[in-house]
Amino acid sequence: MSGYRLLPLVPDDTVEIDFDGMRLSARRGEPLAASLIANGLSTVARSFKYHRPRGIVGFGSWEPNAVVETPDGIELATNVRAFDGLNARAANCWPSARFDAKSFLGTFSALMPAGFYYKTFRGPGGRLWPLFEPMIRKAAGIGRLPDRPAAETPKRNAHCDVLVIGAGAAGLAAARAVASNASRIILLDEGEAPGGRLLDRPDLRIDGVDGREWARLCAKSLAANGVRVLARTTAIGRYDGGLVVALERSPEGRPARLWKIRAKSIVLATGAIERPLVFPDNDRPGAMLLTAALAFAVRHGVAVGREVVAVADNDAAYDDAVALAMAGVAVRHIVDPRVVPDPELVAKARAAGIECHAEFTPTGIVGSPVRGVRLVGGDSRSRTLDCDVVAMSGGTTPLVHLHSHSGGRLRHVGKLRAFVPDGPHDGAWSAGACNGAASLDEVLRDGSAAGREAARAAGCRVDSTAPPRAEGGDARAEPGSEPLAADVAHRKAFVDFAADVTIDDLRLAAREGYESVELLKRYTTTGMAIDQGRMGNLAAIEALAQAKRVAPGLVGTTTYRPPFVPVPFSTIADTNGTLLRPSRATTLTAWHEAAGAVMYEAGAHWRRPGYYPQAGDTMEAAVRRECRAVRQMAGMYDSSPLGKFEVVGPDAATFLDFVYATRLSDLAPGRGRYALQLHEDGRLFDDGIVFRTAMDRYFVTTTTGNADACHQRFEYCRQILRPELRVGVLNVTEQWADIVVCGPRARAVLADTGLSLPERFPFLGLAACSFAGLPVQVARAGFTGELSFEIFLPASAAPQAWRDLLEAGRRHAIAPVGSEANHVLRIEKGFISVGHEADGICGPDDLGLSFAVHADKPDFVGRQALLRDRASPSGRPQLVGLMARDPQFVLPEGSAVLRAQGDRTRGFVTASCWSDALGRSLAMALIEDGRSLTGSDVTLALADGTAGAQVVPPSFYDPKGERQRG
Amino acid sequence: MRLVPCPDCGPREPGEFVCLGDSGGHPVGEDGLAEALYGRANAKGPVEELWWHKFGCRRWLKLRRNSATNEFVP
Amino acid sequence: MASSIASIQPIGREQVSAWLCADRPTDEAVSIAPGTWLAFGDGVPGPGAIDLSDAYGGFIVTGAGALDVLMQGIALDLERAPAGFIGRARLGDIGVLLWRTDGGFVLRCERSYAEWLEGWLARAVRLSTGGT
Repeated sequence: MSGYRLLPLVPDDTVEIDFDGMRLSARRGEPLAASLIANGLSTVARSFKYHRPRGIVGFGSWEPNAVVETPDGIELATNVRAFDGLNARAANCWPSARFDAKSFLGTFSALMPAGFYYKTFRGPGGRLWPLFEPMIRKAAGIGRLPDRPAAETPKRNAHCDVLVIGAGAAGLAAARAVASNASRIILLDEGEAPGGRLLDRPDLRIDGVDGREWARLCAKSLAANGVRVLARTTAIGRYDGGLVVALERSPEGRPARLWKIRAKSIVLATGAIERPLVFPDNDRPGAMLLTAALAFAVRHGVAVGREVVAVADNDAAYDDAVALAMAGVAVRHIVDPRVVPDPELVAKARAAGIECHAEFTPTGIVGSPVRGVRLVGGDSRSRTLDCDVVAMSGGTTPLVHLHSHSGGRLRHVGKLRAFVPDGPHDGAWSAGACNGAASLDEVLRDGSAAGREAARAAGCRVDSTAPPRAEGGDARAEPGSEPLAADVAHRKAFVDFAADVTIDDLRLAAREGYESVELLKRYTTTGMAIDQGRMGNLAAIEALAQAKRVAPGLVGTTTYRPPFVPVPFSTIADTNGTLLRPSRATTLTAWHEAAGAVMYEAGAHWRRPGYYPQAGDTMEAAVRRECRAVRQMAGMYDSSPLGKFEVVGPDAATFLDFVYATRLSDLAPGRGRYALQLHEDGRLFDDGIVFRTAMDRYFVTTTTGNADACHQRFEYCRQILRPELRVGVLNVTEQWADIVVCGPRARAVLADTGLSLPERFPFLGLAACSFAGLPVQVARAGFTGELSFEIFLPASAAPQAWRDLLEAGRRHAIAPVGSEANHVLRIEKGFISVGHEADGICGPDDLGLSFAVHADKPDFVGRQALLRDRASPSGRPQLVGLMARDPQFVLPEGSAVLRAQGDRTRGFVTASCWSDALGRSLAMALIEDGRSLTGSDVTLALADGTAGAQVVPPSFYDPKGERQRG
Repeated sequence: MRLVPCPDCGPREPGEFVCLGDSGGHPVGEDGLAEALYGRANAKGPVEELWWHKFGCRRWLKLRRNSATNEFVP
Repeated sequence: MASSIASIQPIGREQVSAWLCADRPTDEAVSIAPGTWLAFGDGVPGPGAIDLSDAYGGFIVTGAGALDVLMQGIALDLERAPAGFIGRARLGDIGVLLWRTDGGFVLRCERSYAEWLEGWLARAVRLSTGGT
């Protein structure tokens, strides 16, 4: 293969690029593959498994070999565009594609048969797995990702009446058939310009015009009529209900936009791609698809070689070979395995200076890169033709992928030796070559018809002008041969270039019993590499059909799944980490950050302070200091993310008695109660304090993480389960900031701030107070076990109030407290935390919370299951405290609990900490029948050994609760 | 990925909804408790489901969906 | 220039009132859940309203590229949403209240998300081609 330029480079359009360390000249904007061919490079890649030298085989997204690394990522050389400074290197090889250190792997290919990977796990090979594993892992994957993060790819939603995918002859005819001025139409195409395969064939005419010109004018007039025409855009997936995802690329070939298009109707005019022929050494650099050779010549002015032999078994290939010759490429021979090719086509080829050889089958390639092709004739005589390019054409593979993505069925057409859509599916009509249409006239008529159907289904008017008429393009791409040769000795006949699968691999797999096409695929990996089997799947199916002696239609296809072409993860994912997931801030978050707090995302996207290190503090020191402040003096923390709801209406009490397992209807206004919500299966869902503010009004607090889920459940109970109740629920989480002041000096801090509390203000009371002229609600509640006041105040007033409290608290040595200290304080008290102890498996009794369940109420969510649970209470996980034998040792959270060494797992540590107040480590655990083990010893399984601990009641500090009530 | 027909908002993306499926309802009494909690039919064909339009009107919808085709049916 | 494609202007603190009742309490009120109503702007609170003035943040999105900016994250068919359209919708991972006005869109979200949403909108403007 010694490619060259048919059109010389002009200085204005010339750019310098770098490939595998070589400086090359290229035409600005052409595919890198064209530049490589034009510079005479034939070996530009190494194959996936055997590291065989490979050249360019296909065009556009249909290239199975030439994967390159660029600073933008891993891409196909046929899709990367040549621009000044482009720096690409061949992937899967080192130091370069021409001299690859791993090419020795090809020599050992006999050791890597089909299913090689699995065979190393099992049987006698199993012993070898440890030997192979590091090698396989190192060799896995293709290419290295660039060091720098990928650029952001914007997403874009769009809606239309009719979406036409593919702007070739069929797609353009379809789009024209919809009356565009009254409808929203999107027409997208992977190519730079509309036309599809018309662009390769200057000999074709439509409605009396050059086909290329017809396509250009057609797209132009559609765009002028308001059709959104997207070039360089590939539909990568079709989903239920008319959703299509498409990737648009920039002129440089980089991902530019990910479209999510909702269409009422879809026309799939995705065309077909050529199939290579399967014969020994068909993967040598210089063996490529005839249509690819033609596209490089006509679209980019690049000749793929000096002497081309076309090996083709269908009529359409004759026209393509003639077109290639007309473009100035020396096509010397057409070799056709069929006995009697169409004499008219043969005459046309001969007129173009091409020698035609019927009844000759290729049996091998001479040289690597290609120096010739070996043939055998119908009379068994062999001969060799010299050439540097073997242009293969073995019929076509209709691109039915999008039809199949969301479940469209296929049928096998014998004449095409291919699968085509079995009728429209879910609002998508296939048309043209992807639908099995063979001649250009058929393609145009099929496109028009599909366009009309799609328009009608979308409720659009249909354009009444006659469908376009073709001149030329009658030759059909129906393959006539049975070209499934065998590997000859060690000369491999490749079916799947990208996955390095040969015809013998497939036959071996079939012999070993992998007779389902899905198993064959996974065992041999055929169809699993970057081209997802576009090149080889039909040949693989035929190989299996031959082995099973059934028709290919009965073998069926594997499942087609998105994406249709390789898509960088960065285009789907959000490369800007901070905008991927929303982050929530309280009105105090800015203060916490300014104070140097270490911030965590904790529950429902909130950014919260974990702890406030002072100069040189470790986390441990900071947490101890914060805990000490709360236990001995005063602490304050921002509890604003707590879920908060107003429940209002004449039936508010009845409603809450139904939603909660705890009785709330007998609460007096101004009082609150710790209350539990259960799932219908009796397990604990959420806890919180519910305050009654008036006879028909409650102020409900939930956990932070469950605030949205509680909202959903309140509405579920209100709208579905108890629609007769007159009650409304308002989520006021965002309205109210919540500052908690706690510790022995908490009352003094409030007094010094000028916040006057009522004379009688019992534990769990709620009072309307005035704070710096603001109406606020203060609750005597908290999560630390100390005297504690929660100040609910309008969120916008929180920053000033926080500073005032901090200022007033200075003489009481108040400290801001983060979530780490809160965690320690709640373990000391044995308070449960939803998500830690309430894990969806535990019920209220398991957690020692029976006091908060009023099962004598007639009905509430979870009551029936709870009653049933009580009948068989043994074997339940129960919450207990654990004191490690070594008081200095903090048991790792998650450690398994055993009754003794050698016992099975009985439970696990849910929370664990160092307690400064008690001068030792503490832990909580859920253990099977744990309460009955109180006083006894258990063993903890650690990553490195075991530890002993004593089971104790789960409340370590002030178990009677005198401090918080005092 | 079919649009969900919301009577308030019109057809909307399924990502705006929480699907509770066949919720089992609220069991009262011992009879049928286990069925309601754990014994879902998981039928192929039309099924009754509860959907919450979380990002829209926040209405709980009772919808019929064909579990074989994902189409919503009246 | 990004600013010529669309501009993002934060709405300052404003009066927000909520009602829990079956029927629309005032003409300005919009439903955010069955039987739950909100009204934005001064002078609308009526009897029985619950103050939510601290619970919301918002932005006005205007300019030729406003539609393109919002359709980067909202799957609604905004092209076909007439001026005056009001509805809740999903933008990324959050719920937003959306108004289409004569000159663009008003977008409101829960206050805690406002900072994030502002960053999201700024990026959408930066990535927008301005086309519709």
